Amino acid sequence: MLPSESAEAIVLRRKVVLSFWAVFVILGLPLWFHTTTIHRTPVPLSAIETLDNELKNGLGLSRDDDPGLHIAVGVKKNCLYGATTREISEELQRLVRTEGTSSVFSLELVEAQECSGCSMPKYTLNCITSDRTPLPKTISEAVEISVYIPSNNGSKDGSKEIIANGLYDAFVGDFLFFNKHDLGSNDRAISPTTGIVSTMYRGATYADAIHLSFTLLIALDSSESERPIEALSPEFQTEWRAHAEKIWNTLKLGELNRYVSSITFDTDVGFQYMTDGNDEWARVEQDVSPDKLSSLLDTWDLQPITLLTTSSTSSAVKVLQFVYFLPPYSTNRKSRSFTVANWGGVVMAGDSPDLPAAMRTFGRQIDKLLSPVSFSLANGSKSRKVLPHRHEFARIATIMNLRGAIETLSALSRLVTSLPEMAVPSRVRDLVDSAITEWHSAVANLRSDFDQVAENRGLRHATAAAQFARQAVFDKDMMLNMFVPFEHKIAVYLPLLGPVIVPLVAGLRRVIVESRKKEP
Amino acid sequence: MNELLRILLLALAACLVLASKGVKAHEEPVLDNETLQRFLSDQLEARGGATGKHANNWAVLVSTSRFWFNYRHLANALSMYRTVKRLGIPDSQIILMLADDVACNPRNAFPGTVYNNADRALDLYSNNIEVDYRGYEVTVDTFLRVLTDKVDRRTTPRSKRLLTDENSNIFIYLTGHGGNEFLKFQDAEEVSAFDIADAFAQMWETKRYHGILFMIDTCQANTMYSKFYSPNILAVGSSELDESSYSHHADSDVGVAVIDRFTYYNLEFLEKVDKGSELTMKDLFDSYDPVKIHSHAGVRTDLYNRNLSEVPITDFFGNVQVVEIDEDDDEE
Repeated sequence: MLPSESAEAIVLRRKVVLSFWAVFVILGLPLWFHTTTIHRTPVPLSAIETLDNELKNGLGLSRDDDPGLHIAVGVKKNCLYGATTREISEELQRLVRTEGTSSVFSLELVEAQECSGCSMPKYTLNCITSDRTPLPKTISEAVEISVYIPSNNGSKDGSKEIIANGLYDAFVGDFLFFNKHDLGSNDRAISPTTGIVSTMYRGATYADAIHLSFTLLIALDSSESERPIEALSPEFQTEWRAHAEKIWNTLKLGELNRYVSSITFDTDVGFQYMTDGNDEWARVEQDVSPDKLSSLLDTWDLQPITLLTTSSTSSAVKVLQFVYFLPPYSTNRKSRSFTVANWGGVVMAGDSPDLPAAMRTFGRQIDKLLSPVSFSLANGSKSRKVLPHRHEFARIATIMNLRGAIETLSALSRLVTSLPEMAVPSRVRDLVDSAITEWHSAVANLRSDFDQVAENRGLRHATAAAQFARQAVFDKDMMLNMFVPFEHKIAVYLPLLGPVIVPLVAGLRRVIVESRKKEP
Repeated sequence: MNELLRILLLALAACLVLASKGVKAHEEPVLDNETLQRFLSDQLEARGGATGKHANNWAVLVSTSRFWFNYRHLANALSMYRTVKRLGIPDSQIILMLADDVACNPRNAFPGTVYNNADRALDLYSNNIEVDYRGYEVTVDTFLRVLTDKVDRRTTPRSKRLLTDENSNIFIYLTGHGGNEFLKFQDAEEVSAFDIADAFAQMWETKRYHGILFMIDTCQANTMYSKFYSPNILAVGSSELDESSYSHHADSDVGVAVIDRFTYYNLEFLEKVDKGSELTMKDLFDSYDPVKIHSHAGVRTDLYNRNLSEVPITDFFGNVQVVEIDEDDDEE
């Protein structure tokens, strides 16, 4: 039996008990909860999922904000030429608001396939300016005109056919290398995700084609060698052309022939006299008819390759120069080949049995030299290598960054969902929000216009989106073991708090019992 | 008094209820084999299928034990370090974590050396050892952060980061003292099988590996890989559940055991491998002899979608070197 307490003592005891409970409830429990709960700031999972779906279904990057006919701003320079095409030229100029005229080497009109994400069909008219030389060595400028025609929500009003046929009729009579692609053939596609038309072009008609030029270089055993005369013979010419075609066939292995649009067999033949036994090989020009054979120096003084770069000043044409070298008879004739970056390569022809092996290596080297951009089309078709237009580089880089950002954010989303004990600091939420904002800005820029400025701006936003996404998913505080798992909390904290809570509960109970006794 | 007892009992009951709830909340999800395989195939398909093509090789070698008596664990890790370096993985692509430095231990009769054999023919601690994390840096947190690359980029040099990508094959080797689904780190903490499995899941999601060879030499080692659920992981352990892993032999001059059995026989096999070797992972796994190892080494292959007889051992222990071989044999 407990001793009786004075009224003051009872009040004091009650105050003590209630104070303990107040501290426990108001301070202790929230503190315990705060220090043992895994901080998981909600991440906008639905927004990430929406972007992911959008990426899968197509971004719809074609222009769809203008209800009328318009010509996209893909034109850097007017490429129309000639009296016959003057009217069309002026009409196009009026439409595209460009200026000037120049020659047209070749022209293509292709129709892009409609995609689910694009609200209108797209026609692409590619012009290549040149000096009308049949051989594409001197091509220096390439432009593209893209014609976007509203399709009235997909209804077949025939407008695209009218314009396509009109353009075809206007140009077809004037140009040697006009190829009208069959509509619906498989050699072109518009990527639903990128909005980029990727087309396999045939013939020496497209600026982004690779042109291969081969030059024969013959070594002489002596100054009295009869090989120059031999080389002039039709039989020899036939033979080395056969060799060159062998190279061509080698290059056609794999997918290389998809973007090597033409091969040129130059008539240039150079001669090299090698003085055996000396350290240096002397190059001696042979007295050959200059109208038939170029000099050795001229042969080697090849036109520099204009690389396909993102620079606005460079041409989109890539010409690779190859020298087919026949070593002198006296040397050990082993087939060798090597490529030279930015220039082309040399094939040293040896005895025929070992030539194929050398050529196989050569083909791979050339493949690397060409280094085309490779990306898979999102329509489920097999990944293809395509050479993009110059101004598409920024666009492709943008799309790749956009895709990377979404993949990273989706990974984060999956991890947050599947790992409930992983902390998600508020900083991660901010980074995800920033990434999504930048993502939308990039897409808006891509949709707004088809010029370099808009695409560069889009690229900047897309890069920022990718960076923010990476920072979010690799945040150093987003760890599994940063906080104590729940079962550990129970196991560790209950033995500690249990004994403390017993007198608190007992005291509270006593207070309640006493207050109930007094009530009646 | 009775009231107090009743309250205590009530509190105890509440503890039990809460604890059971807590444990229930974290029971592992039931993942049958069919579901796992479907999940794996989906994951692989999303990445373009399972291929043997990888572009670079990395290694994470961890000795989790402290103290002189665990000399052998350090020797295990250093032996693997020497092997992968010999087979071509450069130091820049090896993360070496050694929890203790027995080479400089006052008890070491051969200061500055670590041997993995009583014949002391090979000093594992000679030149060219680059330890990335040593001493008290070797923690569970560090290990998991290295794997997932969740490090403070301002303070962590690139040489101490696992800078892998989706084309990387990673060899992860752990040695130390462990038990059922855990491995001790320095007698202070432990990493669980769940932790590593989740870390691998994060690595897969963030495209940090192409393939992983997980090798662990500890007691009940096979339990450590039992919780993995991410694709393209090949796991090897030294011993089954309720089974110990044993040391191979002791050096009487050093005074302690110098290597573990499982690692010893792995090394014995790997010594036959050179950079151009055509030996496969299957050959390695077939070489495990329970009689010699004194335990049942386990291999988990269900996550790894390739035929082991077609996986060269250098896919994980060596380094990719893309070279054009000129077979021409003339003087030039």
